[in-house]
Amino acid sequence: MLKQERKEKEENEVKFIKKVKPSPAKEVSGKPTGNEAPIRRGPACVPAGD
Amino acid sequence: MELARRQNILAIKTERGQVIGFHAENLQVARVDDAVWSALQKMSQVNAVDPAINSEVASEIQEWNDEVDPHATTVPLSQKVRSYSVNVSQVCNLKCTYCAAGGDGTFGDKRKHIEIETIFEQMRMLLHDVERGEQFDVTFFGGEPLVAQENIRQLARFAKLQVAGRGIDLRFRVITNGTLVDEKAAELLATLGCHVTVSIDGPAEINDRQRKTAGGQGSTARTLKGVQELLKVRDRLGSLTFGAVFGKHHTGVLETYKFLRPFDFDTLKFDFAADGDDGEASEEFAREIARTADYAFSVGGERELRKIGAFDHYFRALDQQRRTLNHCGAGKSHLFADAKGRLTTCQWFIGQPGEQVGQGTRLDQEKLAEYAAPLQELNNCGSCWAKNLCGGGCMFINRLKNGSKHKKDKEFCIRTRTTIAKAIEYYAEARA
Repeated sequence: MLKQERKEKEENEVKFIKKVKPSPAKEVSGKPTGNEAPIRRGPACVPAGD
Repeated sequence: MELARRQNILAIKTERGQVIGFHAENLQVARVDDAVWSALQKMSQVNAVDPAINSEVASEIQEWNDEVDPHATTVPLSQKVRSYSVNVSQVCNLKCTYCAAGGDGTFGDKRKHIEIETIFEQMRMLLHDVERGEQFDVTFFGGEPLVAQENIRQLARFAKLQVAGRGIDLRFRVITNGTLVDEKAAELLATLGCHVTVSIDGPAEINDRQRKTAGGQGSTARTLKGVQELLKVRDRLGSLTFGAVFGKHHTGVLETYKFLRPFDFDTLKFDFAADGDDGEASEEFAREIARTADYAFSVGGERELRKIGAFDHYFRALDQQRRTLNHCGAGKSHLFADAKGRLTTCQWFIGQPGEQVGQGTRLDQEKLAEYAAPLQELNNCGSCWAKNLCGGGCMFINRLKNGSKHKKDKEFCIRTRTTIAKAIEYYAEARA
């Protein structure tokens, strides 16, 4: 079975749980604040170097 | 909002009746059937497979629970300082009711002048270890930093010279009450491409109650005048953030949000000033954050919601499936210097006995070693479902509320989990 077909079959077998797809490239409004990394490097209480 | 959980799988039943699933280790979000909700409710009660549970549902839940997603990663936070905050003054022209800097911006040690030569040497030492391609943040703090603009100018110039030609992404930040921002101050911040955070708690009737001058006058009009100056140089600033502080004194997040929304900012930062006996206020704050998220999403979807910094942070973590082991970088990637170059891991530890981790160019490695382990581990987050998005909580709040940096504040945990659950709810909607 082709890889794509197998993937589709697996997806069709899911009946109760449907995962949403992450979208790391999603654009949001506003300028980057430099706090974009999900690992906070600075304090969490003041926006410094997340 | 109701929650049900079994091991790695959390189900959130929203007020709109939708059921959202969340895998606490893989940081995956899913739309799930009502049958999953019913099953998880039963499973969390009996903590075993009940014969009454639909076996197909149970098996699907178990399969998801056991899944190890290679896309989910953990990035450790090493003890390399990449964020440095410095008090460029220890005086303030305001006297906010909830001030955590000694009640008047002085940290108990009033200093208009800083030991700038000591700070220069400290910066030189910290910047020496930064490698090409890395980001290093210098945050000008206080007191009110803009009472000492010459210090900002000199420290920024010094830092730039240190990184010249080294390919380091040097960023400047300032946390200001905005009241001293005139054309000249705005130009200084624009020249530095500074990321500016203006502290304001809402409309005048709220903000003037707690953010007063030393003479007891409200500060809102002056802050808004300063904001107008910043907006004139908006395109040359790194970014513009409004920071509002809530607490027992004020829990009206939605009202503040509606007041600030028309301004041309990049991010809103909503913080809760923890205090003794703040359980009721904390719960109301959490409900208000949820109401504000509902409102923001309803008027502008994901883009509007993510203008609130916390939601942007959680959306990014979910998109990248990155586990956060540390709520903040205190003692790892971040150090704070007071006006004399005394180092602490967090600005709120200044002047507190036993919290100093260095002075000038000397670092107390023995004390810093106490901060090396992930906060999740130090703060005993155990099996909390939110730990990989929260990162273990705030040491300052833990100490304030419970006398120990590593004894969790349950109010902090509740409001953080509420915010995270709300973020997951809207993440599911935005990515469906």
